[in-house]
Amino acid sequence: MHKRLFFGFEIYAPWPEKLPQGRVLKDKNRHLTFLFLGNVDFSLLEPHLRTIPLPNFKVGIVGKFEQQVFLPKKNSRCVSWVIEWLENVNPLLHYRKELSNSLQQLGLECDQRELLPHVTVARRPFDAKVWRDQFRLLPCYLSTLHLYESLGHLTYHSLWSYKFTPPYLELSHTADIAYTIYGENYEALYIHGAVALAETYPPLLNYLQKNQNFSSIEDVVIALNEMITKVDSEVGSPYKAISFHGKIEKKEPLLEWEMIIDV
Amino acid sequence: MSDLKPFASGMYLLPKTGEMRVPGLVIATKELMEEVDIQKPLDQVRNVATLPGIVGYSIAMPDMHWGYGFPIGGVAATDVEHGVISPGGVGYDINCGVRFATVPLMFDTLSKEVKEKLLRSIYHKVPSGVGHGHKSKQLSEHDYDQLLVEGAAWSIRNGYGLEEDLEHIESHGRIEGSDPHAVSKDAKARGAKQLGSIGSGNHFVEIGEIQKIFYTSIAQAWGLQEGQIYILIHSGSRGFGHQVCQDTLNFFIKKGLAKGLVDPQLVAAPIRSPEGQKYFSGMAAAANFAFNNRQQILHHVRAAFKDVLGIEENQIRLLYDVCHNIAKFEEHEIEGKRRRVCVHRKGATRAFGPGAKELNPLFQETGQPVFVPGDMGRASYILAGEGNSLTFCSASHGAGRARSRMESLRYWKNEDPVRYMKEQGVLVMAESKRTIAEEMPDAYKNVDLVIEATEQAKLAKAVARVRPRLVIKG
Repeated sequence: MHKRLFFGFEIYAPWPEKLPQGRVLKDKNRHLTFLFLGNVDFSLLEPHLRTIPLPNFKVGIVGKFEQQVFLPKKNSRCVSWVIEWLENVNPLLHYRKELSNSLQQLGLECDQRELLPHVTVARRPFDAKVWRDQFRLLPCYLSTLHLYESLGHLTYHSLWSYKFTPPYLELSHTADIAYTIYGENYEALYIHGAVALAETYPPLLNYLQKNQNFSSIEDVVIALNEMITKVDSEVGSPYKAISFHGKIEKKEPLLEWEMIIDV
Repeated sequence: MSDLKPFASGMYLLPKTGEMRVPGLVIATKELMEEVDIQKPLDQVRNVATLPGIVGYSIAMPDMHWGYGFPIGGVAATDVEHGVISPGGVGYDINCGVRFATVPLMFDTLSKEVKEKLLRSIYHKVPSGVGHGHKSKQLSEHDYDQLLVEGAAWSIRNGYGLEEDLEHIESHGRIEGSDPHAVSKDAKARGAKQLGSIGSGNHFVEIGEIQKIFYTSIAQAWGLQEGQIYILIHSGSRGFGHQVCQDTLNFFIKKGLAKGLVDPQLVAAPIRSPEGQKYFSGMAAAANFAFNNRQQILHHVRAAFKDVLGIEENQIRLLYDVCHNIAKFEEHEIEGKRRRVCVHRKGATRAFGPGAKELNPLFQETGQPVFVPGDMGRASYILAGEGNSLTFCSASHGAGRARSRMESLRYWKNEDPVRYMKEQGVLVMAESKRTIAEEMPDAYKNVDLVIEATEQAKLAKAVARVRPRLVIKG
């Protein structure tokens, strides 16, 4: 029972409704390849899927698509968007080693090349110039880890999956915009809050300041508002401010915060 | 609904419980309350009722919905000597408001081509949408020092409008007590290129026709005729005002002024304290920025009418300009005594009745004009204030949202909202189609119900119903 297998992350992003011409992958098939196994005997792996190590991070790591590449460089076949991580990626790299070691113990060899965080969105034929002109900055995050089987024709079938807590979830708010933000600490709440804001207004990502020190949710609100101030002064902002609303709820190991944005 | 007790026509009482210092007063009809979820705004009415120095009632207007600290459609007055002033009772968009002007022409005389040309001309003259201000103009420190103090008179002095416009603006287009030095550099940077622009969200410029007159004598006095073209402008203090609010909240929170409050969003300072005075000075500056903003927008709309239809600037008469996000010092009768109070109107319009001293002679006869924009498809209303002392002479400011922006987006995702509006007889332009989808008529409550409650409660009486035909959204 040989299958072409790989572990990959399904990526969530506010994908553009229309993309240039090409063999465009469906949203659900756009992924980040994490560990490539190749053509392997699935029966060697299937009994162990319940016990393979799981990531030690609970919330999907966030990033942004800031660059578009055509791969390979010569005679390109793919349009790919490169992820620049917005938070500490060490847990992801650590998990890759751990999963790789675990698979090796099962007799499965993985591709050990350095992780190149990119997502293929289309395959040839495509017009590179049109794709270049239309590429825009977008936020994204890891939504689910899958063991994918590649079925060809740009389709992938999930044989196993592990879903992350999303960094933010939209809430219904009649007048304003609201999200529940999840994170392991205040800095994560800040970054995930900023990415939630960028979902509808990606230019905000250019103003995100990493590595700040926060000791309360009020600090997070103030930092997010400083970002909005700068954006509005320079390029405009659809948001007025984040309100000083919502207490932090601790649902171990995560913090949960209701972020309300005045628009 | 179960906590509310019928009190008077169009009014319900929310009795004092817990830490409430005064009861709540909700202006509504039964039908209106059944249409939307009022639990969250009612909780906020209760919270507001706990503010130090609050007098009379914590009030919610018929267009109430969940807001920041105060409900939108919230009114509260605090004693000037012992009470507090709360930025949450004003809102981020300080002196967001509406102005209404009339054009001496019937709407049905405009051809399809002229309507399209007029809409395009306004769209090009009045910047709208995220980040769109005037590219070539930037306010200097000197400009700020003057306009923040002078109010709308500054724009008129600089060629944006007519001297007579000032008589037709609430408080003559100027809130006293403004101090440009009470405003941060960030606020000035945010507002530098935004004067004279609509902004985004629910702000708009709307051209339409007066559909029905209900109160003939007042309509005649105000120069309103059925079929006549009107201009309705909804905008505020843009990023400048947002930043004044944000700077104050940061300062108040860091200072620990939210401690002990039922909701930190109600953070407030005693009116007489240095913190309270500083906020008022900044808020007044932002209010004056907003008066200038609407003055300049009207100027550009007048210019479009001149370009397209040859109508001179002075033929387009400003009826009135009202604030609906503001705190003002006013005298009101409370429990039989005249008292000076700070009235917070957050998504509520002042509705002085006949005889009010501040009004110009025309409105002293009729009561002040009150504008209640509905949605861009159905209708808006022109009312005359009745000066109801129970609400500190306040009335509603809009229809109130019934559906969240995200729900609206989902609903209209696979449809063409611009085409739909055109089929309804309304031409719409906006920088972003997303904004149009968020602002579709079905996202709002039926404004007719809001007006019914407003009239039942004797806050203001309907003078005319107007219908949008050409709309520019932010």
